[in-house]
Amino acid sequence: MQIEQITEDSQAVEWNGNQHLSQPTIGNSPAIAINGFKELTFAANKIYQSVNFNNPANNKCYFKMHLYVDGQKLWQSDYVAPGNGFYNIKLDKPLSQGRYNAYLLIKCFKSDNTEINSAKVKFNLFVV
Amino acid sequence: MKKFISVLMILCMLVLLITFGMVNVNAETQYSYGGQTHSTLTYVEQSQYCVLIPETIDMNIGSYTFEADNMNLIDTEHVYVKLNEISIEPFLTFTHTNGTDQTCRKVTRYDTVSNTNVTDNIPADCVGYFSDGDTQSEVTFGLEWSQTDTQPKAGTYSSNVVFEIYLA
Repeated sequence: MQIEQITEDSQAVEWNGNQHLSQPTIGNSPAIAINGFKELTFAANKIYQSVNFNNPANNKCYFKMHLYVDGQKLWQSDYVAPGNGFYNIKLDKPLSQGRYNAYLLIKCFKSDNTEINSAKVKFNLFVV
Repeated sequence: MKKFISVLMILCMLVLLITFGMVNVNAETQYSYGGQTHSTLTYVEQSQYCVLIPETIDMNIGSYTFEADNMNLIDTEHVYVKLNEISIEPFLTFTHTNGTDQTCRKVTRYDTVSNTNVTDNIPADCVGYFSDGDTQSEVTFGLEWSQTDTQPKAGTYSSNVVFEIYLA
């Protein structure tokens, strides 16, 4: 059996941690990247839930996230830096089985605490 | 002791019989050809998207076309970006950097490609509209000066708004 020598990719460079990615823009104006989703599923009668809420790494602003379910705020974060997020959250109260209208209100702030535009990501919440 | 072991063995056998019996009852109908079993595996890939919103709305830029980093949708789905502030009247209020003077501008919308007015079934307060794979909104929105406006005070005006984003 003939053994082939492997060849290294000459384009690869020595890794010194993540580089600073350019900030999102619309045209030449600074922009904020907002991740969206259609639906989310929670476990019934539990306050700890699994989610994927994050502030994309290429943003320059901080996020403050607020989860509203049928108009009632059930969770909120403090300032979340770009590249950080939540896999697990603790609700203020558990939910019973059913389908709910929910949204994640994302308030955006510069590092000097100046508030900039916000986004409200609407989705269907299924509690099973 | 022997009696106890015998009873224990009978109980174990009963449990095994019941367990295997249940598996057979619940097994899905499968078709077997020559020792091979055919089945269909399915899974659902959730629709996902990432929309870019402007940090602030600067009147001097004139018009905005939303962009997207990722728009992975089912063919019949669309992502909508609405401006809560114009759901009743298509006007946005801007505040001077002095914190007191204000001015108002009408929000206009047009088709990004054809540059014509948006007339189809896109909601009136929708300023961004994406289909699967779009990296740019099919709707561009701008700001129109009203001829009846009084001359606003010189200086810089800006407005912070809440963009409502959803997939339908």
